[in-house]
Order: sequence, then C-alpha cells, then structure tokens
Amino acid sequence: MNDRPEPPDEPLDELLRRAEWPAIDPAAERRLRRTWRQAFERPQRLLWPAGLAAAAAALACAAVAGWWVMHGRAPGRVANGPRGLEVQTVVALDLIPRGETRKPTPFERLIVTPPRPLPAAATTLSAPSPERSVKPPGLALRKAEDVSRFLERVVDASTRADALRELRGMDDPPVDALLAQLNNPHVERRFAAARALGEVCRPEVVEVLWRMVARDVHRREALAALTQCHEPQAGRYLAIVNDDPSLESQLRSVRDQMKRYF
Amino acid sequence: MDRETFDRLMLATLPAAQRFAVRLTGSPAAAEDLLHDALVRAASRWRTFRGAASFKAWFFQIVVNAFRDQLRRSGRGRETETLEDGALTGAATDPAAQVAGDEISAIVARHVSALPPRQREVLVLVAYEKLTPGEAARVLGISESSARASLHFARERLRRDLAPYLGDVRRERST
Repeated sequence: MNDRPEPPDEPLDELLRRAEWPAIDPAAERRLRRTWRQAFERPQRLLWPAGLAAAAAALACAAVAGWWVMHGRAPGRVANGPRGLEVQTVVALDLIPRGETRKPTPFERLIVTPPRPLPAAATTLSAPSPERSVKPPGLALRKAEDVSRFLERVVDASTRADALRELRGMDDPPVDALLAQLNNPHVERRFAAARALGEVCRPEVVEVLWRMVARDVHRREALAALTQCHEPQAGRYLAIVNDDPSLESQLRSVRDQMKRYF
Repeated sequence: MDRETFDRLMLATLPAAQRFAVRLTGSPAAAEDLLHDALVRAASRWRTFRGAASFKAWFFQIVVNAFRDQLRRSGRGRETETLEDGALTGAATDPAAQVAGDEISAIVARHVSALPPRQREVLVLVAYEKLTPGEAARVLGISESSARASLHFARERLRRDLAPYLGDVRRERST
C-alpha cells in the first residue's frame, strides 16, 4: 500500500474538487499583512542593540580570561606531593556588562509580576456559604449534567436571556464549574461558559481569567470571558492585550467568534 | 536572500497560505489565528530560508508546525473547533436532508477539515496544493511512505463518509 501510487478515483477527486470552504474575509488578509509588517520589522530594530551587547559581552569575557591567564593561574598540583589548598576562583560577574534588550511590553511585564494577592474566596471561588445558599430551583449547577444543560440553554438564543438572568440571580454562582467548562470539547459550550462567566465576573474571577491568559491556559476562552465582563479591571487587561502585537489578533478573532455565537 | 525579496515572497504567498490554513482548520477565524502564529515565527526565522527549497513549501512547513502546536496546546488533537460539535453527524446517513440545507461543496469541505490532522495535512497538500506525496512528506517532515499511507487512509475515510454523494457523482458522469 505504502509504495504503490494511489489509484485514481475520479468520483472522489471530482467531489474533492467541488469542496468549498467558508469565504475568507478580505479584511483578514489586511490584518495579516499588518501582523507581518510588525513582526518582520521588529527583529531589524533589535539587531543593533543585540549585536552591540553580544560584542561587548565577548570583549569582556576575553579581557577577564586574559587577566586570569596572566595573573590568576591556579597552582599546579604535584601528583604525589602534599595537597595544596583548594582555591576557588571568583569571577566578578558585575564586571561583565549586561546586554541591552528591548523593553518588555506591558503584557510581558504583567505576566512576570507575581499575581496580586486575592481574597481568600478566590482560591475556591464557589465555596458554599450556608447562609447564602438561596438558588433558583433547577439551577443548582453543581452536577456536570446540570452545567451541561445550563450551557445548552445559553447556546440556544431563545433560552439564553432566561438562563443568564437565573445565573445573575444566584447568590453563589458556580464559577468553578463554569471555569472548568472552558475546557469543554464542544466549542459552543466553551464559549457559552465564557459568556456565562462574563455575567458573574467579580474581581477575583477577573484575576483567575487573567492568569489563564498570561499562562496560555485556554487563552482564547479566558479572553472571551474577559470580553464579556463589565469589571473595570477586565477592560484594563483587555487594553493591555490589545496593545500586545502577539496577542492582538487573537483577541480580535475571539471577539469575532463571540459575535458569531451570541 | 535579502530581506526585501523575502518580504515580497511572503506577501505574495499570503493568500495561498490563507487558503491552506482555512482548509486545515476548517474556519477562517481559526485560520487567521494560525497564520498569525506562523507569520511571527517566519519573521524570526527568515534567515533560515536558504532558497534551495521553494518558498511556499518552506512557509507551509511553518504553518503546519504552528497548526500542530495549536492542536497540542488546546489538547484537541483530532477535530478542529468548528467541526467538533456534531456538525457531521448524520451527514453520511442522511445526505438528502443534509443537501437540503447545505451545499455538497460545503459538506465535502467539512469532511476534509474533519480528517485526523496528519491525514488532513497530507490530503490538503496533495489534493489542493498539487504537491506530490514526496513533496508533501518533505513539508510535513515525515517519510514519503508515511505520507502515502496517510493519504491512502484519508481517501479511504472520505470514500466511506462521502459514499452517498459519490453515487450521485457517478450517476452524473454516466448521464
């Protein structure tokens, strides 16, 4: 099978010729051209500082090595003689100039910053609170099948508004369960979960979503949830993403996708 | 190769790469996402293009690698986003109903874009980019025999899934 040429199958080839994929938006090509321009021109700008830094580092290394050879040769060791004292060579790292690189983008600065301390509730976002456990009937959402049914209602335009209203009315919304659904194998349900998270996004939820974006854990879905969130902090995070060339087009495509679904 | 030539080649290849990415992912939005990744990678590796291979093959290799990385990251190695939701369920069993609401061309496209990733990559390169199995194998970084095997399985699967439509095509051709 492997080495024989594939026999011609005219009807199948005819069908394959007829295949038509969804049309490409001409604006997408313009956006990609812009992406290319930004990405292709950036290394050019970085070339000079990077080259200078590399040359400076090489010169410094050569100077340190030369000094060490001239003045700091370690005492030789006689095979059968008394052992000399072990001398540890100290390399003055501070003498080596640090390389100049580009400044980190606001997004990069944010993702290397330790996460802001969250309220205790943030670690278990939907920890049960017995005194506030009033839930509308039929929307307990603690079981996987309940969550699945709920997301189906969110996907369905005719039941979406009711489903989201019930969610907003919950004192203890099932944020953990919805976060878990960002990994649902069905794309519509993943985005439905993101839509629902937008309805219940408290500051601690925004922080969790932001961490997912920063760590590239279901980034598209977390971005989708942030776009649905009315918290001011979510808007600030999205502005940072929008300014980051490596993420901006992803955010745009997520927004398009959300528009298509909801 | 100088930067300007490379830049010109990339812009000339972009529309073909977009079509290729849409066929791989099954969705223009996902294709844009994929090409964004691929363009950023190509920009950082442009010096690795020696000009010995065709530029299109070189860039398609980057697109395929980005596609695999996206699948790996998302943990959804088998289906693309727009095709995961049972869109194909029943397509083979009830073609009449499908055709009523959907053009056959779109159905075939969906089936192609729903093939397992390796089979999809080989089939798209051979059937639509007109590469030989050997050239497709080089783009995909696999052996030629492996590419031929993937192509064989892809066509087998399509023959099975599109069987009702194949009958229609045969009838059309005989009349």
